[in-house]
Amino acid sequence: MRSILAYLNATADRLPHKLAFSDGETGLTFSALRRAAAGVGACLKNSGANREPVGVLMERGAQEVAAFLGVMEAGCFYVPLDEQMPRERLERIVRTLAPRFILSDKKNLTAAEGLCPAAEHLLYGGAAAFPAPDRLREEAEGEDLAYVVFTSGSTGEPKGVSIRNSSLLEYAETLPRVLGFDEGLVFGVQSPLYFDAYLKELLGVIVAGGTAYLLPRELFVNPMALIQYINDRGINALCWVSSAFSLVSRLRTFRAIRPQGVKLLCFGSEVLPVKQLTDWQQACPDARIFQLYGATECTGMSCFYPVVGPQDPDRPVPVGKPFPGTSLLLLNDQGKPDREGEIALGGKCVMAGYYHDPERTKAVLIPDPVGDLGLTFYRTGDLGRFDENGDLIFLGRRDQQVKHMGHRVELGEVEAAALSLKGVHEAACLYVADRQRIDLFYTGPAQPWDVVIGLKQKLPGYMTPSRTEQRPELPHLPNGKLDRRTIEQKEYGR
Amino acid sequence: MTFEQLLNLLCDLHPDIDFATAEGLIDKKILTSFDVVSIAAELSETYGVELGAVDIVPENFNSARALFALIERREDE
Repeated sequence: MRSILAYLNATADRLPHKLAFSDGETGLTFSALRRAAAGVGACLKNSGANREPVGVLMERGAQEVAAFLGVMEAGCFYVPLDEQMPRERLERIVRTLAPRFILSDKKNLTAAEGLCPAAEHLLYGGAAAFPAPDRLREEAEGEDLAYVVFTSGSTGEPKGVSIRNSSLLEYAETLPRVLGFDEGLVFGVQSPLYFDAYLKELLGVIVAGGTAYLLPRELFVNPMALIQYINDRGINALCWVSSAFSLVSRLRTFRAIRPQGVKLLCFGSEVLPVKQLTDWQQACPDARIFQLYGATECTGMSCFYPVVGPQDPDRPVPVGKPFPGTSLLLLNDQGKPDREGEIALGGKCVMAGYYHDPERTKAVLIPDPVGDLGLTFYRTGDLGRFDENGDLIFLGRRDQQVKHMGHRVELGEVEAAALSLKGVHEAACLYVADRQRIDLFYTGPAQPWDVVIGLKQKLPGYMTPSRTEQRPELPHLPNGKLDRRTIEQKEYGR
Repeated sequence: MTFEQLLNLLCDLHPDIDFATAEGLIDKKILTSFDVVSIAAELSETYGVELGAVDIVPENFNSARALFALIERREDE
């Protein structure tokens, strides 16, 4: 099978001196990106790495992208370890992976060694300069893994979504075509690199020959500076989570400054409210606009809806139709395809499984419910229906999972973390969607600030509740479970 | 709006922070971009204080005092 690194070979041959990725401090041209990836690959192979996980603990930047590609060049799969993740979560991930090799930068080397003393630690700088062939591998084993990214799990144990080379290649072959990527695009990357969301920009760069700037996180607390940054660098393609788009428009940024020359807007992760969408349409009149939908378990985005003209404010924007090669079914309570039901996605995009977790894999991967396609389907846990045009409308979650600031959060995981703290007897987590807030109510003698501090040590920032409140008791259902509906009514009067 | 009300609003977001004295709320990443949006929305919906894009800069959000000074300026307008 073709390797996605073959795309980088072709683009680096064609545009060797063009800027591929920049993080503001370091920029890598296509030939430098290829050279660094080749070095990392050769260094890992020389150390004996082969078809196994390689943890990457680096600062978000152009070099981190080169490290990911280098791991694939070695025939291994990369596992991003975020420097901002709480220690306990990193430890759980490392326990699940048991990696023999960890790649880090100078800043994170000590942390990496402390986290995983048994592993062999390679420094990016030396690895990238390792003697290597001029070109990257053109072929890859389709069944081998390309990467594993960890997402929230309801029991508190993060799940390692394992994606095959064949799925990544399929994404590389469809996404740029569907969204019309070309080498004139200059992306502003909002996503952290430890999620699959950044794959859109990665493919926009290595497949289509575009350029990507990793936007500094602090720009999102300064929306005018953000738009200025975009204009100064000629950034003309924004593929962000919807909450990042609405953050800019809700602060009425466009009254003061407008992005110039934007050609492409892609809203991912959540459906953008029509009011915010309209603001962006007016601010970027020449942009092609897409609402996207997908799941980490299906290699990023799987459905798209081209947004053209004014949208009906009383209807949600559809998430549209599946990418070519992907099958979309809505399963009713009997598990049969219907007009409305749980969204299931099938095709090459579907993950190999959760890393070393056959039980939770079995719960979400199902054989073809129609029976004639021979595909594996992933049950997303999302609910949807088809509208009169056959476009998919996203209706919400069937379980306790929410999308918060573009991240997937299992409220059960937050509750499990709270229950692990001393002095917390019961815990109920609720999501206040209109305020984009996670609230936690608990019983027990622990003081609220102790609970808050305890949770901050266990959970990533985006998962820690905005409000933590002690209650003398929480209501129960007859079966003994917490009565979330009553809690919601009592706390929010609805 | 009083300074007390502002402290309560901020405390709702991060009960573990003593906002009366804390400095560098943005620089130290205590407040995230989403907190800033929540604060702006709350100020507008509950207190009728409208902040514009020009107001959303780190200097104005680095301490409760700085934010309160901004609110007073906007209330005077």
